Amino acid sequence: MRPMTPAFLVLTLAAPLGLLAQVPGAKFTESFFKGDRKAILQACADEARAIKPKDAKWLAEYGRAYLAALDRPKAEAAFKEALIKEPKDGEVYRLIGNAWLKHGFKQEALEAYNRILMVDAKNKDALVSAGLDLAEVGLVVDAEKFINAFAAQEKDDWKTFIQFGRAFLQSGNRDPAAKWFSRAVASKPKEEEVYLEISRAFADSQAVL
Amino acid sequence: MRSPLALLLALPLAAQSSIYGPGVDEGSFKGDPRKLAAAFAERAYLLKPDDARHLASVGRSYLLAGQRKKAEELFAMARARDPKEGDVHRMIMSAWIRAGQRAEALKALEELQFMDPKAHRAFARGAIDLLEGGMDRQAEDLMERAWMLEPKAWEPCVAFARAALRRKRNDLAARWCSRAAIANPQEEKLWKELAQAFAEGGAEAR
Repeated sequence: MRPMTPAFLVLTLAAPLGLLAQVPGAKFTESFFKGDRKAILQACADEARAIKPKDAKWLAEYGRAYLAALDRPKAEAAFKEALIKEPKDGEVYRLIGNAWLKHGFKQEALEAYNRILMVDAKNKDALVSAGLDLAEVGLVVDAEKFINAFAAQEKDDWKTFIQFGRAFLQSGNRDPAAKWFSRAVASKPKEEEVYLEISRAFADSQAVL
Repeated sequence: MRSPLALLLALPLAAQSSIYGPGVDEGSFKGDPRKLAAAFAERAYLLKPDDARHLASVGRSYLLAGQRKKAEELFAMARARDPKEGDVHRMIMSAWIRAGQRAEALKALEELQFMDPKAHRAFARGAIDLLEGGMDRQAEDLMERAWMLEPKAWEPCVAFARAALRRKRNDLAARWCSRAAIANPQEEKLWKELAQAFAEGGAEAR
């Protein structure tokens, strides 16, 4: 039996009295979240945007939510607004690329990702995230563009090399996985975490290998 | 000085020496993934045989590599090292769940709750592990317990809702999304994560 918490009581008693609208977050009841997925997506995206409307990264995320709600015009409008605010931020392009990638728009995704290398090639976080996004879906050649760009700047980042290896392993690509695992070991041959993480990667990827 | 277990574990090293140090190259990563998982777990253990969480993690790799006896030894060592650390018990439970060993998972769940009764973070993470392993009733009970210990924490609620969505348990996801919304309605990150959770069927975001 669910506990009768104060918040739960407020919601159940306030609704019939029309007081629901005055309680913060009140419309987001359990019933609401069981409803239409598109409506949930839009409402949550709108709620976030109302609280923090101007941040370019948030705009890119809202665009992603609209894309998932099959509202391409709203998604593209949000992406456009994000890029107007931050035209040279690699992470904004990465978020947009990831949004397209997750929803099956490969060409649009690669266009956005490739912009990272043109406008913000020293943004290591964006390079890593882009590399991982693409490695996880098996786009090996595209992933390695970003991974190599990162590795040229950070030659001994064994933790990130292991992430790359793991991402390739999870998409069934053993050769690039091996390359990045061996670089991680070469970088830190006496670090127990290196071997543990490689072990975990193989243990967890058995089904796809 | 190495423990007897360490010496015992070291015996197979001779047969796989290319994996363990100088001479590791890309060729070292070919072959049976289970054997590789075990071989690297062995190296990881030998480099740090004293840390409870590390021992539990290494044990997990052995278990998934099909080496149950070694895994059980390492789990026992982990528990002995830090018997009151909830996350160690949670990691052991998670390993058993992943290996499909329900009875052992239930024992570890009991130990988790008994040995560290206020470990709300371990409970919340453990609840997700249980849900992903198809142990729904236990997952819901543990998540309720986590929430009662820390009702203002929205992030565990969203994480559990994501896991519920991945399992197509929309009823459960709805309940925990609602609780997250009540916990902190002014936090824009919450709404962004809820939108993402529904957008991607609960898949983890980066």
